[in-house]
Amino acid sequence: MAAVSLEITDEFLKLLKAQDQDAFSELVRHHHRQMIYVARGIIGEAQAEEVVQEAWVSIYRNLIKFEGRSSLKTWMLTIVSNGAKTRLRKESRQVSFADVEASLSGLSEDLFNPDGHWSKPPPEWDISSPDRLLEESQLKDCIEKTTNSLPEQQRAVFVLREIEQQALEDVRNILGLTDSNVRVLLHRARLKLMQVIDRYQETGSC
Amino acid sequence: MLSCKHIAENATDYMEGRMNFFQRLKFRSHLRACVHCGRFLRHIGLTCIVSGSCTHQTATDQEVEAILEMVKAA
Ligand SMILES: [Zn+2]
Repeated sequence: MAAVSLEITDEFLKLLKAQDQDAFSELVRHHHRQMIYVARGIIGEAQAEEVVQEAWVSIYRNLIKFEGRSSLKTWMLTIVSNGAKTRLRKESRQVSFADVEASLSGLSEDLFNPDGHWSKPPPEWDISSPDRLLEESQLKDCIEKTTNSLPEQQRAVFVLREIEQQALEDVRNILGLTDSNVRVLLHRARLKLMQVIDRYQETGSC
Repeated sequence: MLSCKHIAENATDYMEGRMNFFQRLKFRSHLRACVHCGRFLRHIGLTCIVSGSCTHQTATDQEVEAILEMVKAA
């Protein structure tokens, strides 16, 4: 379900610190999914939910101590990521994902001639302003579907950067990835989503 | 001059400010001269805006209630 993001005002923060149930529910409503994506990106599908549940308990208890040195969002995401990483260590297992190949070459081989020029130049888009694109509800469905089908680490990076607007450094720290891994994963996700819009412009469907 | 392939593969680094002064300069001079890469960069930028703002997902009532119950019980 798509929705506008939650604005954390001082007033809202005060309610949260007083453990106001409605305010906390709103916080959960707007951040639960994103936290699940982050947890999945670190520890995988099977335990992500449990990690996020524990994180919510910890957030609820510790909100009173939140000092605002980082944004509330970053603070919460760090709690989830620490929980996931701790669990990973406890089970002394390696991240179960195939290591991200820290290279972009081969990403778009077929788009280019051997001399590095476009073999198939990017098609011009008929709809090319953000607000016009966002009016296309079918396109929004396509994008959401594609986002959900990205590999777990790619999706976690994408969610943190594009949706949660975290700085690249924070994305790297939260997910425990290297700088080049983050850049490669982000680039791949962006390309995949751009292709969705390309296709939509051409065919009017996903 | 940088190749179009190089531009496409490093677009995210460019957008994220991950280039030094000279790299940016070279990148930009290609963009000025090449309409295809200019379009590619524009499309990637649009993709970020659009996909970022249409995939903010909210949890369902059931999910919210389940978390609330658990937090109170803990
Ligand atoms: Zn070019």
